[in-house]
Amino acid sequence: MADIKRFLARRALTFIPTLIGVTFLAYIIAFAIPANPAQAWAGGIKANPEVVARIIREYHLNDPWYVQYYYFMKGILTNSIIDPRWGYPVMTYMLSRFPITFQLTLFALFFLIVLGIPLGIISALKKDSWIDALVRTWALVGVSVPIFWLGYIFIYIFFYQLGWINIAGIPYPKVHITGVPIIDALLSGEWNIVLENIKRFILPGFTLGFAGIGVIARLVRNSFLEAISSDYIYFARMRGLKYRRIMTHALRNALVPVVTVLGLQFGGLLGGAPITETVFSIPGMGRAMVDAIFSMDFPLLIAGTFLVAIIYVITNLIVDILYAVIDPRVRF
Amino acid sequence: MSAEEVYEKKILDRFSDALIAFVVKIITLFRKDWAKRNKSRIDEWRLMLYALNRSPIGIAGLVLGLGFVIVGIIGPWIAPHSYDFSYIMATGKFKEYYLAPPGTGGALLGTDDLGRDLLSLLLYGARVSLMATVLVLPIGITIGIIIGLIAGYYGGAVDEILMRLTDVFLAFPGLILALAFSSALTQRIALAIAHSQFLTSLISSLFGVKPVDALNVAPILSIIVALWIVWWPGYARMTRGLTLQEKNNVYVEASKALGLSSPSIMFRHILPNVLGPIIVMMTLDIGGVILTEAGLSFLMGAMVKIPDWGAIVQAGSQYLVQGKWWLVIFPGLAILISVLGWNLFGDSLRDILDPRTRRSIEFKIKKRKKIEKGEKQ
Repeated sequence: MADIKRFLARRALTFIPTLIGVTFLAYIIAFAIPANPAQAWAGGIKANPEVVARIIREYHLNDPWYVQYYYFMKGILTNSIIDPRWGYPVMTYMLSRFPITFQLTLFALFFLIVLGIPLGIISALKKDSWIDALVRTWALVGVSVPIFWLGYIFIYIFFYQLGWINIAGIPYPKVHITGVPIIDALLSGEWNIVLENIKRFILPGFTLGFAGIGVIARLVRNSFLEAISSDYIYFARMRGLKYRRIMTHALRNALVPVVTVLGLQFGGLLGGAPITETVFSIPGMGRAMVDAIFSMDFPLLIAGTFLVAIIYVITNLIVDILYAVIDPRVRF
Repeated sequence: MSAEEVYEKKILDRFSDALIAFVVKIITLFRKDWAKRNKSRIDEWRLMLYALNRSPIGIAGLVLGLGFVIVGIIGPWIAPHSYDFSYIMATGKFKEYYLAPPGTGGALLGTDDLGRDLLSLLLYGARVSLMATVLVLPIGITIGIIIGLIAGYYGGAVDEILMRLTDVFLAFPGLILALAFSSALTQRIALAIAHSQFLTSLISSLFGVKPVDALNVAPILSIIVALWIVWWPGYARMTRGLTLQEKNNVYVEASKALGLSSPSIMFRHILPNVLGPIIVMMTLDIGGVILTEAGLSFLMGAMVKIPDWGAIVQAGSQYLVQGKWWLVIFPGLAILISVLGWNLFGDSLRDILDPRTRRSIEFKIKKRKKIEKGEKQ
C-alpha cells in the first residue's frame, strides 16, 4: 500500500500546477476580449458614459494584467464576479445550470456503457460476423458524424414525423434534493416525472454518446481479442477450465483500459454538450455559454469554461487513481 | 525484397509507380544522386502504395478526401449562383425562390430562406472548410512537434515544464476552449481586417468571398486561431512520447559522438523517424478539424454571415420542424462525406505505415498468390 500512497502524492503534486495553469488560461481568454465590452454591457452606442465608467471600474478593465489576474482569482475564490446582464454571481448561475448538463452526460454515459461494452464483447467473440462489421463501421462513422446533424435527423424523425418526443422544457419533480431532475424524481418516487425525463433526455443522450459508443465498442473488442490470445488464457485452457470461466478471466483484464477511456470520454461529452444542448434546446451549462457569446457576456463565458475545465481535471484525477487501484502496474 | 517480388501488378500500381517516378524526378532536379542513394527508401514507398492499392476502403477514403479538396478549390468557380441574394432581388420573384424544395425553381438541392441556391452555398462552404483545414493543421502540428521534440530530447526540467503546460491546455475540452477563444477574438480580428487593404484582398481570394464580405470572415478566422490553441497539445504529447523511445537508439548516440548540434539531431535525425505516426494522426485530424470547425460555426450561427456548412445547418434548423429538411440534411451530408473520407484513408494508412501490420498485409497477399500458382500446376 505504500506504493499507492507514493503514486497518489505524485499525482496530487502534478495536479496543483495544472490547476493554477487552468486559472491562468481562463484569464487569458478574458484578456483576449475585444477592446471595450463595457460599452456593450451598458447598453450599446447610446450608453451613459457614467455607467460605462462605473463598469470599467467595477471589472478593472483599464488596470494592468497582473492586477486584473488578481481580481480574477479573487473573484473566482470568493464568487464575487457579477454577471453584467443580471447581477447574479456568475459561478452561482453556472452551477445552477450544471445539474441539467450532468443529467445529459449521465444519459450519454449510460449508452456508452450498456451499448458500447456489450457490442464490443460480442464483436470480439464473433469476429468477422455482421455485428463485428457493425462495430467497426460504427467506430468510423461515429467520429465522422457532425452531432448537430445527427440530432436534427432524430428531431425530424421522432418529433416532426412520429411525434414521440418532446423538445421543450425540463420536467422537474416537486422536491429539490440534488438538483438533478431524474435523480430527485427517483428519490421522491415521482415515477411519471422519471418517465418524462427519460423521454426528454433519451435522444439527446444517445446523440451525445453516439461517437463514444463506437469508440468504446472498438476498444473493448480489441483489448478483449488481445486478452483472449494471451498466455494466461492459453494456460487456463490447458488446465481445462470451462469456457465461461476462461472468458470471465479475459474480460476482467480486457475492461481495465475501458475505465481510462470512459474517463476521457467524459471530457469529450462535456465538450459536446454545447452543441447537443443547442440542438435539443436543453437549458444546461453549454447552452448558457452559447447564449453568453451572443450577448457578449464574457464573465459568464469564462466562468463556464473554467468550471468545465475544473470538472474535467478532477474527473481525470479520479480516473487515474481508480486506474492505479485496479491495475497495480501503472503505479511508478 | 523488391516491390515486384511481392505483388502482381494492377492498373492502380502502374499509376502509383508513375506517381513515385514523378516525385523522384522532381527531387533529382535539386539533388543529383538522391535516387541512387535512397533506392531502398523509394522501394519502400512503392510497397506502401501497393499495399494501399489493395485496400478498397483506403482507396475509397482517398477518393472522397481528395474530392473534398478538389471541390474546395474549384467550388466557388463552378457554383451556378452567387452566395448572396442580390441575384434574387434582381429577378423580383422572391416568393418563388423562398425555401423551394430540391429540384424546383432550377435549384438542384433547394433554396434557403433568402432564396439562395443551396448547392451554390455548399460549394462556397467547401472552400471555407478547406481553408480552415489548410490553415489549422500545419501550424498546430508544427508547434506541437517542436514542443514535443524539445521536451522529449532534453528531458528533465524542460520536459516537466513543457508537459505541465501541455496538461493545462489538455485540461479543457477542446471544443469549449475553442468556443471561448473564438468568441473573444472575433472583434479583434475583424478590426485587423478592416484596417488592412492587403488582408482584405488576401482573405477574399482565399475564402472565395467578395471583398465586401472579407470582414464577415472574421468569425471563421477566429475559429481557426482558436483551433491552433487547441490542436497543438495532442501532437506535443505524442511527439514527446515517440522522441523518448527514439533517443535511446544507437544512431542518436553516434550523432552526439560525431559532435552534431542538438537541433540538427532533433530535426534531421529523430524527426524523420517519428514522422510515421504523426502523419497518420494528421490524416485522421483533417476530419477532426472539418468537424470541429463546422461545430463551432454552427454554435456561432448567426454571427457567421458567409456560407459555411455548420452555419447553413444552424440557419436552416428553424425550418426543420416545418418539414423543410434539405437545409439541414445536405450540408450535414457534405460534412459527413468529407470527414468520413479522410477517416477511412487515415485508418488504412495507419495499417500501411506501421511496419508490423504492413508486413502481414504483404505476407497475406503473397501467400495467396503462391497458392493460386500451386492450383494451376
